[in-house]
Amino acid sequence: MSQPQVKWGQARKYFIQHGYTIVDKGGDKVIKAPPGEISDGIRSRPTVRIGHRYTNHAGDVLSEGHIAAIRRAFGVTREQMLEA
Amino acid sequence: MQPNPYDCLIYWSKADSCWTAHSLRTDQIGLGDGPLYALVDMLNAVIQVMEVAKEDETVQPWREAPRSVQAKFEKAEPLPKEMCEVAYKMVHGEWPAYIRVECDTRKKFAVEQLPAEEFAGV
Repeated sequence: MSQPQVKWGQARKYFIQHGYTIVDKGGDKVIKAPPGEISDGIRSRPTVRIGHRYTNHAGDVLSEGHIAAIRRAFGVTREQMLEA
Repeated sequence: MQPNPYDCLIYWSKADSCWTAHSLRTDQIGLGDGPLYALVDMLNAVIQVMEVAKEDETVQPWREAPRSVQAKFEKAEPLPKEMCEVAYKMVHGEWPAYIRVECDTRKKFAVEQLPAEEFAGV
């Protein structure tokens, strides 16, 4: 059975609600995890970049590759984004 | 020596019905209609993430790809050097858009040692 699709609008809503930062790079998006405790000189915030083909419109469907990347980088699941 | 963020595995994704280029050292992916276009998208992904990391010192751009990807990379055929050169030109706007590069295979490809000096120190 195929998995339910996640649309960019749903993912974006989840990320904004949970303190993520979305940086626009000429239409492509780089999503930064929320800032954690500040540690001098230590980089800790993971990122996921999603190309503009999947983030131009709220109705654009995220690829399975990006959904997996989001899960690996942020621990955020498909179900969590769908519930936003 | 700093790892090369452009090292990647290129493969056909059944789940997405498109080609995927997966960076081994940053775990970022690029997608495309052909292996070359997936590579171009991944190169752009890495460049953009590194730009964000340079602007924000809290960002960690380095993240190893899953072991399954690393294992497939070891067995993949090297992408021809000429195709890597074309991808590099496409990223830097030096390839005419009306000349497309097609690939009639579903083989996996490995890309290594593309020039990446611009990321030194990130």
